[in-house]
Amino acid sequence: MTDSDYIRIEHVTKRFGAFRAVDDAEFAIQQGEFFSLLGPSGCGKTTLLRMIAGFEFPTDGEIYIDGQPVTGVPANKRPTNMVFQSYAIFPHLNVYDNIAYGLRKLKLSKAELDKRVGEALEMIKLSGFEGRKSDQMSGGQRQRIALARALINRPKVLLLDEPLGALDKKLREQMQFELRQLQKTVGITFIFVTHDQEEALSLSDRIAVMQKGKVLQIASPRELYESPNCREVADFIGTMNFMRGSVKAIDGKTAVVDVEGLGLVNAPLPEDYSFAPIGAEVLIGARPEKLDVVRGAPHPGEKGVKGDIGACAYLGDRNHYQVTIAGRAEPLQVATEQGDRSTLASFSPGEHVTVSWGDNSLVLLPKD
Amino acid sequence: MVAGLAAPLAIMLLYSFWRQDGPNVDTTLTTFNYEYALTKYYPIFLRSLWISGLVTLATVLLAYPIAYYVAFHVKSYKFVWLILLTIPFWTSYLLRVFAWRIILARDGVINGTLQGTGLIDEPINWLLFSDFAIVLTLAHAWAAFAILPIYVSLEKVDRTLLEAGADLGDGPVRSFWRITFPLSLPGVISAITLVFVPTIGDYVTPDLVGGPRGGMIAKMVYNSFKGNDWPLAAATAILSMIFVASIAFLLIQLLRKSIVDPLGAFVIAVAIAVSVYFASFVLTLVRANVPEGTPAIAIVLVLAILFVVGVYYTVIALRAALGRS
Repeated sequence: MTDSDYIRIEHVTKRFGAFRAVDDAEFAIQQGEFFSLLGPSGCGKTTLLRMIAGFEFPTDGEIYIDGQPVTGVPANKRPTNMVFQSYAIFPHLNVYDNIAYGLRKLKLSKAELDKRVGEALEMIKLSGFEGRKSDQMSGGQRQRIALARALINRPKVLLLDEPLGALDKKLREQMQFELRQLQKTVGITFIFVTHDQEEALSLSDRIAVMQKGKVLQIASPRELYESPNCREVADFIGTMNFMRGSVKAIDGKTAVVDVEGLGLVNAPLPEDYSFAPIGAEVLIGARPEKLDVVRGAPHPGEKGVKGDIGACAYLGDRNHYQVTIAGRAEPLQVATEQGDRSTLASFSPGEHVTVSWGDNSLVLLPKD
Repeated sequence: MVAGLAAPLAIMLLYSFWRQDGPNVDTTLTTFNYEYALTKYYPIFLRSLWISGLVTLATVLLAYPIAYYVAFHVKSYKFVWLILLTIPFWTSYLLRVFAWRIILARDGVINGTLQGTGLIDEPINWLLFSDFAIVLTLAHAWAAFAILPIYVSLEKVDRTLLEAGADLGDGPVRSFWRITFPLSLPGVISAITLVFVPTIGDYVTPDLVGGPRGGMIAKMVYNSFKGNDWPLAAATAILSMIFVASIAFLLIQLLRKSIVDPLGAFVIAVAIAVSVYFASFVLTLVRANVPEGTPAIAIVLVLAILFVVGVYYTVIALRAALGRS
């Protein structure tokens, strides 16, 4: 923990009876960061967010916002604002009154209030909709009203609880882009809860992956995808082939691992490789798109293993193959990119092929 | 079945335009009964309105906290709570009224206890045979009709909205007045309708626990029947019906409006109450200044127009005061 930590979660645990919804969470968020809590439903991410908002209180641990301990402070006295999953737009108020809701207690002059609501409406591109009722607004518009209603209070932290979940795919992608732009403009720290890994990867500066109440890894999107620290993270973010193996030698920055079906491979060592002394059982992970399928010899400088094409799937921008390899129960998943139309290299089921990979395609993971 | 319902009504309507002449009924059509009832019974109509207004106010004010408690603070067995709240309805209405007589009488439970403990020397006289007794008895009798609709509307309030209110800086009291109360108004207006409409025409309670001049409009109908003046009784009953129906209509309009615009509906409700209140002054004024022999129907028409105009302008004035267009 350093002085620049804007939000600190210190050993926060939340128990509901015997169930640990959040189990000893410990991390810090920097000012102006777009931070995501990512995990499957029931992993504790929303409970953690609600504890930061002040709707739930930790069983153990402390929460600090901008240096102030807020652990026992109720929601209405915290410098945070929230965008709810259901948006929670007040049905009996029009757009203007919804957005101005949090400002009323400041007893601003009518002119000042009009000015600030006007600016907020401009920011979300809904100027002219002041008098509309919430039931006259579409899902995307309601989502923006919820954003404006929260941001108009100039909170230190904006909390977002799966705000894009209820939108259709196209609109969601557009809103993701707008949300990112907005965060850059206002410079407010965002904490974003989602179960959608693509959404988390495309939006966040850093992501905390949670499962069963525990924070598994906190890293940038690239780091999470390229160097997951455990099988759960690797599995949750994208797809990964897992292969059992044992460490034969450590050679500088690589481990030599004997992998079932593949033989000896070289995998780059992660920062912390205390789980992989010589002789230890480990997992080798490989993303489908980091592998390739070729006829004959592997690509120059790469290793390869012979196999047979099982199922194929054409996905437009890429092809998916399942390749069966001798000595391995599960087929390897391989994704090849579609190049231009003259090089439509495709394989059919039953074809004998070689799966080719470079050393840097592989990830060394602890055995579960 | 429709005929079965409509025939008595038609007979009553017909009777109301006839006229009692000693022991006989004069079947020449006349509006005499209406004019008579309107001029003679107008204060009693107003009194009925005033008493059931008080009853409605008392019932809703007492019912709201109970409904709120069950909706927000009872975690399990809500169903049992709701059943228990309807227990007063398991006994006969008449028995409940008599029970209140025992409690409120000059030598009844309350006076007895207060005198026994030495808190008072003389029994309190206004407990029974008073407007207080009517309001108390009716409020108790109709409590469940107010609790249930208010409970339903409170139960429907999305709890996330209250969290949003807290998130935007409201403490519990502020978020009640800004979110919970406006969203529960449809239930409150249903409760008002359910209590107000039937208590206007109540006969038993005013007769048994009301004071010597405690009678409400139903008492006038009864007196006319007893006095063998069926046409007057019919006219009074029909006027009472029109009266109650128009109030019910207004309340239902309010209910529909309150779903989309609770504050607007509240404004209209206040406007109607204010207009009814001033109508009595206007009536006194009109009656003092209108020459003898002017048909009562004409007076009523003028008053009705004045009333509608009054409501309309009060709404406009209130909306302007609240800064809404």
